[in-house]
Amino acid sequence: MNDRRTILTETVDRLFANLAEVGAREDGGKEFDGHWQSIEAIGLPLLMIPEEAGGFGGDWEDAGVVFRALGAHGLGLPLGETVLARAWLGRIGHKAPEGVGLFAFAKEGPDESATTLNDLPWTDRADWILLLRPDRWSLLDAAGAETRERNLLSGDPRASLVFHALDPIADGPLSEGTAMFFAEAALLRACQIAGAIETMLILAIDHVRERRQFGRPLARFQAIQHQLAILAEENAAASCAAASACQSATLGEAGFEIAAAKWRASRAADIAADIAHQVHGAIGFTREYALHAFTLRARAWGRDFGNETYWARTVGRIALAERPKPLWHWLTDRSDRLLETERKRNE
Amino acid sequence: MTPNFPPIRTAPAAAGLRAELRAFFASSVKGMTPARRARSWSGWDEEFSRALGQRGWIGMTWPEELGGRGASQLERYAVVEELLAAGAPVAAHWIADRQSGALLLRYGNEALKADMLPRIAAGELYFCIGMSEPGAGSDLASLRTRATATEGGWRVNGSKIWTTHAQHCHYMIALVRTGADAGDDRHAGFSQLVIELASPGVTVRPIEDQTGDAHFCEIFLDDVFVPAEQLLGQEGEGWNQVTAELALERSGPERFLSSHVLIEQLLATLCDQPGNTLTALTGAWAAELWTLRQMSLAVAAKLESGENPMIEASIVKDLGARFEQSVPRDLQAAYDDDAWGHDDGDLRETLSYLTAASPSFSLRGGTREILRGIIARGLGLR
Ligand SMILES: Cc1cc2nc3c(=O)[nH]c(=O)nc-3n(C[C@H](O)[C@H](O)[C@H](O)COP(=O)(O)OP(=O)(O)OC[C@H]3O[C@@H](n4cnc5c(N)ncnc54)[C@H](O)[C@@H]3O)c2cc1C
Repeated sequence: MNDRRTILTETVDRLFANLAEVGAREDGGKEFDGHWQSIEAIGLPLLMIPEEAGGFGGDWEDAGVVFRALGAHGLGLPLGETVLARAWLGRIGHKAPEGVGLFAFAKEGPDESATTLNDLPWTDRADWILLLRPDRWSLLDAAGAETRERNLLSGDPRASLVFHALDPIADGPLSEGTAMFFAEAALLRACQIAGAIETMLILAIDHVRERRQFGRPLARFQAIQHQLAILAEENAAASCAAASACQSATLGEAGFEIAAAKWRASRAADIAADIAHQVHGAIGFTREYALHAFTLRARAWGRDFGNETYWARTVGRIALAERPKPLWHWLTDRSDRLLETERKRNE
Repeated sequence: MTPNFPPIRTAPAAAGLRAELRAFFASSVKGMTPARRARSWSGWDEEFSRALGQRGWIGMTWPEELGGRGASQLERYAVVEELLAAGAPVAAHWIADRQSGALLLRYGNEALKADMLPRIAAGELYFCIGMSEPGAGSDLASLRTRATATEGGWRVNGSKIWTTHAQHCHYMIALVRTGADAGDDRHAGFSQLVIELASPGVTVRPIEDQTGDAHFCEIFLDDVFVPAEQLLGQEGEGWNQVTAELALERSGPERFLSSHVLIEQLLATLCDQPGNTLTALTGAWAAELWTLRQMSLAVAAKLESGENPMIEASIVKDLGARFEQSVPRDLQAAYDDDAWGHDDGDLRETLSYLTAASPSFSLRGGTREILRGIIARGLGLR
């Protein structure tokens, strides 16, 4: 890890740990504004915007560190959403507005009639929404929507927004389609999942060493040890996949790596959440104990921006399209090429 | 800190190395049936091993004067993963290249090294692993084979079992008891001996496995003489030495590539537009393969920098075995999918072989339960 990234990692870990302690919880939070200010104070919402353009700078690997830390500290603030929406607007060539931003994908073309955006986090706190449709982007004022179907079962407050008439603050054509934006949204979730699983593992380890039954700590039971070994394996896989995909996204086109990483992280989220809950017993099922801040979110994130089936099919189509080249040749050549780019860059 | 796997930062192989290997496979491996290639590191082929040795692809990390070329661990990794993915029959030199040679290099005396390493690197001298015994499987420390000091060396009595390819090998590196029987310290009193299998008193009996191959053996050792120079490392240090050996045995790409030939065979057989089930299945395999390779490369980089990543290696091996075992199982479950292509029998034969072989993937080299125990210890649970 380079020095800059080490400092970033330490900084966000310290900040997020403090914020988490103040108790940002999923109720929409009295703490939201204070937290957001702390995050703005160090410039994080301008991550991935080039320093020349007045941003925080940083590449996908830097962003990955921050997104992962969000998941690890159970901070469900829409920082990742704001960062990506701003970075994308920058790439599109439009200056991003201030405040809390979200993004959403919709299938229809440039239809100006009513639009419903489902399952968005933190709708009450958002100032604006970047809507991406196959051939058009629109910047919407969050205040112009009606909120429906609120729920807390995804960890963060989520809701559907209904825009009875689309009256964008700004909009324009999208010449390259939405695929790469969608993939980056998936990578954000993969990083958050990796962070959340790491904390599930740590909570589970602490719990089974502390809690005693049958006269000894749960950690002494082999059945428990083996469950946690599997949890550690899933943690390792999700984490390595997400970090590798961030590395690839920094170096070039990373369609395959992101697809693979989101598939792996989503899969790990379910296995890990099952185990973490099982070894915690009833206490882990309470609102008071923190486990749900990681398990509910990780499962919801697994579903967001393409679930396991979606990404498995995507990877499958890529592998099949490369035929008759063997999968092995294609995969290793690609990886060698990416790493060669990194070597040249560091020269 | 939980075990971590930072992505590697430089390509494992110099440009051109893969192309060179693949060109060699095109003439030497491609013509073999897929079911034969699926045997890969269980496939015995001395001619192939010698051909590899001539090209400098065995013992690559060893010093030049001992037959190697001073290559990095990652470069060796690239060669090994190419061999496995192609399904090359590498069994003859496999163990010697992976672990026996490394042990000799580290613990062998100069004469032993000078005699053996160049012949291993040439693909001519073959080794097997003598750890397990009839009464000592997972609980290796309960082994009973004993070596007693005698004039000029040791006399060994006992037996070993499940010794892969012992019937074809020249030497076995055996873990034996040289000290007192297990006292308080269960790991004290072991030593490693290089036993020549042609010695008087050695009987090797092959055991047929459920795939029909006679690949592993039972070995009886009846007053076998082993010269003193063939004690590896320190007397009494066998347990620590064997633990380091197991890290080499557990971390490599052979722990997730055992079913790879089947994946390639499916891709080559499938029709142009397979249905959703098989598309998703190949996608899931490719994604898991990529993830495991990234993890395994991270472990190789740790080995290269001198760390002993026992826990990380166990994680890769257990996840890898789960993957290797899922490939034939999932394919069998999807076999009736409409998109099934035109199999002329090769795919079915490969699938049958791997279905029969796959139970061993989570046994050989340390069972799933033992690996999970190691991981749990690493997490501070035991
Ligand atoms: C194909 C193949 C090749 C092999 N090649 C070699 C070789 O070349 N050289 C060599 O020395 N050995 C070799 N082995 C042996 C291998 O190392 C052993 O099979 C392995 O260590 C397990 O020992 P075991 O078979 O006696 O099973 P056991 O130890 O009897 O185990 C049976 C089951 O009980 C479980 N178990 C055991 N102890 C515990 C515990 N404490 N907690 C929970 N579960 C437990 C095991 O995980 C396993 O599921 C090979 C094995 C195979 C299958």
